Amino acid sequence: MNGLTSLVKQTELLVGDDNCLNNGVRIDSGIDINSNGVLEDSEFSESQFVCAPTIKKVGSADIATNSYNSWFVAGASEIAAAEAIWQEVSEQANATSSTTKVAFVKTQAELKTLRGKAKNVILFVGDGMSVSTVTAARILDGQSKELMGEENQLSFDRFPFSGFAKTYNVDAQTPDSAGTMTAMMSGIKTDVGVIGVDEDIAYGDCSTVAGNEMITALELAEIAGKSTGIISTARITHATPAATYAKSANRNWEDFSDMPQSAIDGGCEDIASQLVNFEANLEARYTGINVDGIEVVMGGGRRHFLPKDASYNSADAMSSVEGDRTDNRNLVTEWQGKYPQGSYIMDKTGFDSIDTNNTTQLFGLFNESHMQYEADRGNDIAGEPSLAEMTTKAIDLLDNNEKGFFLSIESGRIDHAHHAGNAFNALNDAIEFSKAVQAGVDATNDEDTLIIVTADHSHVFTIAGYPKRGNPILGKVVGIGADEPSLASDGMPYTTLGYTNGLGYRDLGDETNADASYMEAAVTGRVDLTNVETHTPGFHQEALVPLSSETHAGEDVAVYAMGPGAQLVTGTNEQSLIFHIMDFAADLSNENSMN
Amino acid sequence: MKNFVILFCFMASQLISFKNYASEQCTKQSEQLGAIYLIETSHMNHKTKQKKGKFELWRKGHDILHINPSKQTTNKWHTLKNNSIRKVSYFDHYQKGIEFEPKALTKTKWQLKYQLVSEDQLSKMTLISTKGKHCDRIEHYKFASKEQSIELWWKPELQLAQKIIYIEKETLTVWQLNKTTFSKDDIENTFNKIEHYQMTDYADIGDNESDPFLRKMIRLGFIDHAGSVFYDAQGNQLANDHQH
Repeated sequence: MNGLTSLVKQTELLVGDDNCLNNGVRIDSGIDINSNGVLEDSEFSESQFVCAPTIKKVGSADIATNSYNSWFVAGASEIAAAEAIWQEVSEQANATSSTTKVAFVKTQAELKTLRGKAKNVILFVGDGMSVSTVTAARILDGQSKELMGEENQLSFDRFPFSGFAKTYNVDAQTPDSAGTMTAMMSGIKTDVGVIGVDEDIAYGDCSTVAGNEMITALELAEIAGKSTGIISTARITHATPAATYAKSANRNWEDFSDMPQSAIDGGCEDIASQLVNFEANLEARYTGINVDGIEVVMGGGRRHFLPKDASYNSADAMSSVEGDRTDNRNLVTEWQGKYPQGSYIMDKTGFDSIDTNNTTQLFGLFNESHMQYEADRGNDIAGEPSLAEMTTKAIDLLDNNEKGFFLSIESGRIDHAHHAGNAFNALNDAIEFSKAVQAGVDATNDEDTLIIVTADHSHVFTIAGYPKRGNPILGKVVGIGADEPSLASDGMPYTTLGYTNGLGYRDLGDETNADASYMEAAVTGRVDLTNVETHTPGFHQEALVPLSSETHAGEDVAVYAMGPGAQLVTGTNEQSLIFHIMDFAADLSNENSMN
Repeated sequence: MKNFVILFCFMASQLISFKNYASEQCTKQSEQLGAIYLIETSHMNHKTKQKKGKFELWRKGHDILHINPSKQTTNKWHTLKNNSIRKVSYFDHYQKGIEFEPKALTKTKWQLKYQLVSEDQLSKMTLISTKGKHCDRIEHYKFASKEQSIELWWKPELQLAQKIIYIEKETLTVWQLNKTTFSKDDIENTFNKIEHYQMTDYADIGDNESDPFLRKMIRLGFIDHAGSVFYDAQGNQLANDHQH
């Protein structure tokens, strides 16, 4: 045309090309303006694509690599098993219905008939057990069994149902144990730092307690005639266990000496006293009920039950004066007076001597303050039972009641280890928590026992860097294909685990008590870990923001469930929903004699 | 002559008995006392103003108090049954205290709390002179290194420093024992003053931002962690190589 030549250019397109996903040809045409015999990009006037058809289906031979992979097979089996569980749950409602029919048509009706199928309810709370804590504990547990770690499962990882809980308190984006456990036990979110009362409370103001008390799942279970129990490795008057039985404007009012005069004059009762007076207080609050008190109480915090007088020291008291109470009351003897057939124990020997078939009431206080970290338990003066041992003993006692039981079990010191910036103890306590959950599963029947496992809140604890598969979780980051630790831009290695804030780095070697770190000055920012052994119990990870104590975090926590009603644990919900799931599963609100 | 020898021996034995008695009395006194120090800090170039402060050391058997009046804080150390030592920090303004986790007790650790200067430190100093007797005996020591120099007037029977002159990086700090009391009432009142404070375990403070005092603890962390028991006049700890 006009003496100029038209040219066509073909370009092969590979698989994955934006225009031809499954390969093809691009055909460009245009005028060779510069007459060099080559159609250049500036000379294109038109482009066309001829593509090979995209494959929309593969045959079994094409996915042989998947089909014969053991992980693929195991995953498919797990889905089939979950479907069978759902089918079984559905068929409990209507023996003739199909799963599809129930799911689409009869869900609400079916759910109503599922109410009350749980004779027993166990709530396991890992205090401060964030999702990252679960992941890291899983890996550590697996590596302790000489696995790579990541593929390991903790006991509750195998539960069929799980979801997330939003943990915020009414007045706090990042919550505390008091407000969160109150939400889980009473079904209503409340403020930070208060126990068993709603958001109309004024923190620390005794006069605002009356009229704002909320009933708890444990109290409903008591009223319904079930046996009840609380276990914690923290002080039994600490926030999480306290939220099962007490009402307080301040979580720190653990005994009389902790209360300001205004609260005493206002008639508020300290938490330890409320535990011992639980039966009388509940009967006073609701006319006409008759309860028999909490059957099993085990934990630490003996000092809040004894007078501040050395003559009341227990045999294993470490302090020169063990008790803290300044009202001259000995709550241990008061409890023994109320329950003369009951058993009070304070060490492992006493624990081991308990015959659960012949014990009606058990009160165990194993330490002046909190119980030992699991890794430090051997250092207890008189010996302490483990959380798993306490779980088994409690269930063996509680299941003597034909009406069933409610049991709250807290691993209270995962939280404390995180506050101290010590992943070793946080993860070891989480592993022991997993063992306790397994003990609960083994001691019960999933046809009549709802088990919920969750955390109250998270921590600023991270798993970071790009460590290779199977890298020691407590170690420094070693990348894929490498044998030496990765170095940061400051030329120094860094651990996989770390904290955003807190007191930061410590190298206390074999020290198994995470709280020993508090005597040392804060070391935040980077430390050269090249020659530091980071796997030891006494190693505390680096932190960024200097604070006297590492803090909670505000993100969601996981909820795991098995047993009747467990299917309601799904999706992301308010933390207070947990109470309603327990109430639904055991029909607590309707079964109690208040109606 | 024989009578003279008998008399001499009798008088010598009485003198030895008296010395032992005096020594025992000093030891008894040293176990329960209050020692108030005045601290003056100044810069050797005289450009900064001289600053003054106070420090109190109180002993009652196995319990020791270090009181910093300007900061309104008291640190208490007491020994526990399992040969460990526990620190408790009290804050007068808040009428509250923080209990730390016990740690293994060592002789040096205890001496630094009990008498501010350990035997280990004394052994590194040079004895210059000794004067006085019994409870009033004073030993004068000196120590010098590249980083610091220390001059110490030491009362060995009471295990108490009479005066300390400490120089580091051109900063001069002088501790002067201003008053010593052995009054049981004074000692009891000082220890009893803090007994009613509301206590919190350190392990619990991280949970408790709703409490204004504990919130300050978490954020400002005004618990001192370092090992030094030497303070300047503002109550700031002086750096040395002695740790808990």
